[in-house]
Amino acid sequence: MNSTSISKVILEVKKLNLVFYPQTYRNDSLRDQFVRATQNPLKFLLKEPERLHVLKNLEFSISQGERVGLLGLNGVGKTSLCRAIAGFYNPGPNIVKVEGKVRAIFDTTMGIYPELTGRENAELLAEFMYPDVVDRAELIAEALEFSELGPFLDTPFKNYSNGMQARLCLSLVSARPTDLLILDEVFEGADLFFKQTISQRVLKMIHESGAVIFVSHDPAQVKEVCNRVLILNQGELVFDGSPSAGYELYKKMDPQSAGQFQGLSKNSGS
Amino acid sequence: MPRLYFASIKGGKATMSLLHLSQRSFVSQAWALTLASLKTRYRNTVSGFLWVLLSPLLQYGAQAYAFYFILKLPVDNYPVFLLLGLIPWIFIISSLEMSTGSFTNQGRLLKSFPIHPWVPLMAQIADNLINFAVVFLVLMIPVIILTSFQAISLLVLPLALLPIFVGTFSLSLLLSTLNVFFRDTRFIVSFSTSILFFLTPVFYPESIIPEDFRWVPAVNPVYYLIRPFRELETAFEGSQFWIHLGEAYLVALGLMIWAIWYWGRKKNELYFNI
Repeated sequence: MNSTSISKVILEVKKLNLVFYPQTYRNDSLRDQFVRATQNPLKFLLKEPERLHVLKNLEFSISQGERVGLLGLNGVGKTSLCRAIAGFYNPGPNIVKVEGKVRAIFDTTMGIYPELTGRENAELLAEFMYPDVVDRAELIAEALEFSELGPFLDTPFKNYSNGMQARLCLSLVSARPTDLLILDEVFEGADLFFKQTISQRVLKMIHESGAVIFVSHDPAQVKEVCNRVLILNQGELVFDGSPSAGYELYKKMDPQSAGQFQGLSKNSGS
Repeated sequence: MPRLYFASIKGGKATMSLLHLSQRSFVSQAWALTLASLKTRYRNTVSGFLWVLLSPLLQYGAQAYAFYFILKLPVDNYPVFLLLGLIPWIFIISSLEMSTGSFTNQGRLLKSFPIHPWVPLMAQIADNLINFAVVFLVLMIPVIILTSFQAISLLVLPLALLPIFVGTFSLSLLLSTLNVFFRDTRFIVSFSTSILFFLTPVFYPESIIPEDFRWVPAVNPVYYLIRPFRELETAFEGSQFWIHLGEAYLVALGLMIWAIWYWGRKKNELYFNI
């Protein structure tokens, strides 16, 4: 655990395992199939589906005021973890416990109805992001102003650039504090200036209340925004500690060997 | 060996607890999407809402011409008979065809925000239901003026709308979930509906079906949902309307239980397969 002041626990994850059975489409030659059939005839005939163990026995908790950066190479289970926390999956009682409300966004270039204008899409997005907020009209107006999209707000969302779409979504998602905010690689489309602006807004929101899980491939950005870092590797939590130690460790990850660390042991930063 | 996630949720709850959405928010979100869907569909069209009327009107006209004027089916007041069967049929079939690919087509949306997957599906059916109700009422105007149809019968229309809505939504949920895992579903639905049209007493009365084949409409859930509309005309005259209405509710309930059971079994695998 990091050294920040620990108060109310907002998220508690206990023994979280996530297993999928992916569909595979191999272009095996007859020769390959013959070899596999002769090596293990029973397995070949029964064709047991391949199992993908995405998250392995994860255990951690997040408390109020923590800005947790989630680092890891592609395909290590970062998004699956965030989805499990956001409630997309139902892992069973007491495996993922959230005290309060979660707001999550996984794609900032997504319009619910791209044919509709940015303003109309913002109204729809707000319906989904803030189902219980009473002053939604005020919230939308404030978020639209923050997005600085001006006259483009009344043009179809489908005509927006990725950056403009990201501005709209990020302005909305960060309009009100929440207990737990999950941002999964959401700054990728936004321009540098807006990244800084939105970072300040997210930081302000976190200071007001709650915690954040911030997924990024940019360790420098994580170091700047977060006060705690988790690193996932091949579905396992291999680091939980300070941003600077996490930053150094992540830089040493070797993508060529599926995220093996070079000379560092598991949980070295905890 | 760690406890496996899917082992722990086998037979998981089939409720709206996914994504922690209250029922009030569910209705509010589905309604917002329905309005947006209506707005989107006709924004760039020249005739806008006229298209909603035009398509069933042309189908109705063509079938009335073929079965009433050419084949001369022995049914009293055939134009009204056809209208009361065809319009609900169009609602059910168009909803099934449009919604079977709902989860797969909207995969990116469902993965981007915590949106309950039922919300876009519900909005799709509600959108069709509004179109259906408008078409039905508009086409009933000449029927009331030109025929002996009693307008007071329309008072029981909402009672017939509820089972058709619930039944259609349940079938759509079943098929759209199935389509996530078996992509053939979309194609099967597409050609099955044209076959089902001839097997369902929509343009012909059940009474002309030979005794040996009476089981065909008896095992057809779609027919049970349509039948109360067929008898709207005699709703207040001690006909079988109320019995058929009760059967429609039972069929809708059965379909709902089946769809929710299947959804409960598959919902955790949904996001990985869309």
